[in-house]
Amino acid sequence: MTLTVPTEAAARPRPARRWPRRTSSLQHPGEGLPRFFGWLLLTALAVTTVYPFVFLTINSLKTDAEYTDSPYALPGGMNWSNFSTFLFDRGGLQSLGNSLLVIVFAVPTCVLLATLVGYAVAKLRFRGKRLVYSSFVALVLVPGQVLIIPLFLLFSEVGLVGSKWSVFLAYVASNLPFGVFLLAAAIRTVPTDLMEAARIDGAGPLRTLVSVVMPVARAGIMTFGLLAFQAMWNELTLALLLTPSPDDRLLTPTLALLPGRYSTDEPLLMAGLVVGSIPMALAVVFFARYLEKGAIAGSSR
Amino acid sequence: MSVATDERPHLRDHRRSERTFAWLSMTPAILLVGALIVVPLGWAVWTSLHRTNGVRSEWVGLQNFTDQLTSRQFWEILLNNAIFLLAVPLVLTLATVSAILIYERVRWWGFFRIALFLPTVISTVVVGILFRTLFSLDGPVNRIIDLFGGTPVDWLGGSTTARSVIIIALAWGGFGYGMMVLLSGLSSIDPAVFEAARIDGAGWFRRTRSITVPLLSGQIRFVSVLNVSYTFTSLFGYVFVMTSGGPGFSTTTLDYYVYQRAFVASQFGTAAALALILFLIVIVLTVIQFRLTAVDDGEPR
Repeated sequence: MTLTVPTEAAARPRPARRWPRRTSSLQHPGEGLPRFFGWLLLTALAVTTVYPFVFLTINSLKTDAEYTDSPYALPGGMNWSNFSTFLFDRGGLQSLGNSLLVIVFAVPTCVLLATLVGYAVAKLRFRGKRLVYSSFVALVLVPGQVLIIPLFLLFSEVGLVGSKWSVFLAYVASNLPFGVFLLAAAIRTVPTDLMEAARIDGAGPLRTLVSVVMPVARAGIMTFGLLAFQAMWNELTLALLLTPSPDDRLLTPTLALLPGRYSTDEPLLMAGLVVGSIPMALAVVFFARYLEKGAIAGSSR
Repeated sequence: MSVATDERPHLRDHRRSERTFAWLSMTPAILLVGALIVVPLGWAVWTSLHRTNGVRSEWVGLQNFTDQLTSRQFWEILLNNAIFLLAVPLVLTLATVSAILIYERVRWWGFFRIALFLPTVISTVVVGILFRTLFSLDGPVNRIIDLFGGTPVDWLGGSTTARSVIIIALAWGGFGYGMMVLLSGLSSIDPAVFEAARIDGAGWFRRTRSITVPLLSGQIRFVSVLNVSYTFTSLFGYVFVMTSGGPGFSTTTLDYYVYQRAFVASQFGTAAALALILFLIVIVLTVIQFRLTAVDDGEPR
């Protein structure tokens, strides 16, 4: 055993500000056997998580006949017809546009409202603050199933079923409780000294929020934005119920309704799945750090 | 909170503007959440006490609840949920093992961190359709079985196999999130702990079992609570696209049943009662699990 190797020496150079920051003796390269099996195990796992997406992409470029012939073979050529059929004949493009339209407005709205409440309950002094905070946090527990029936009845009552407004409002509201929880936690870490300094300079609460709190808590705000985007992009039940007509339908219900009950054009379906996965797959690759922060924030309760 | 309020007038003004700002900034969020979560919650309770198809409504008191709790169907569906809980230990095992290995910097850890996280962010609709395709009668999995001379299996046509496929899909789609939470937990442990254990001569398995896992118990508890309630509230997407609850009712989960009663059978009262039972189950399970694991924490292993 190489007991004398100091921790610092065992650390490898790695890009700054990336996971994880601390160095640990667990990274010790000594024990070859577990490390090799560990590597083997994770490689096998990674094959199961990555290959299906490769499989989807490859087969989305095949004709149905090619797929039936062999799902594992490479496509004969780049056959983009599945994508054009999905986008233009099966309502893919329309629903993609609908989803983007709803989400492009819903995410910033939700982030803004949650930031305001998070700021108030984390940093401002007013009576009833604890009650406001704990009410929001308690509502995190309410499962969607309890809400779908009354929301459906409510929106039919006011004539909003079939309108994208209903999904927009439902998405903003349903993501707010978790957002308040997350952003209150993020904003609580902003040093009070910094805010005091702004106050002494004559800044009011709004000014302090915009020029001190938001820049300092930027990572937390980003994280919640991504999580809200993910939740909305992947949501099925509300979208299915609140926008029943094909013209207003969002992407997830369009995908969910795509497979026929008896025979399915698999490559066409896969083209749809590829379209539906691209935004989140890109988000993982480019914003992994923020998505990780989201996981961390959720667990610190 | 400090009682020694500063009596200087400009500070009092400041307090007042802070208070006004707090309530003003929280108003939109409170209104939205009030109208679209709190009111619907009350509405769900009201609906659950009626027999209603959304148009005509008749007061029945607690009959919807007693009807469900005494029906064979309800308990069979609850048993399905219990069966799907088998995914939780799978998720926990995969998440713990991969988090520890990545933390230990096995070769390619940076790649694994992203690759294993990938399924987590993809919509359940996409994951569901993917597994439906993979396990379809002439699908890729059966092709491999065929290749090795086996008999193709009608995976989604039999109740046991259909349940197994959903459990695999659940574990596949869920362990990445748990892994992230555990990774963040690992990074907050003082590396000196591992160092000390290593100097004491504890081998890899010993260290993992006696030090790493116990120190992670908070995060493990969080992940298991989350996954248990997930099993009751978030299977809708999978069931909707993979089996529509079949064959028979063998993959109908409580959350899918709520949807079916409400929007296929138009029994809104029954569905609301079911949804509230589901809510109650989630609350009870969360409390029980926190209690159980809280006791565990104090015990030496």
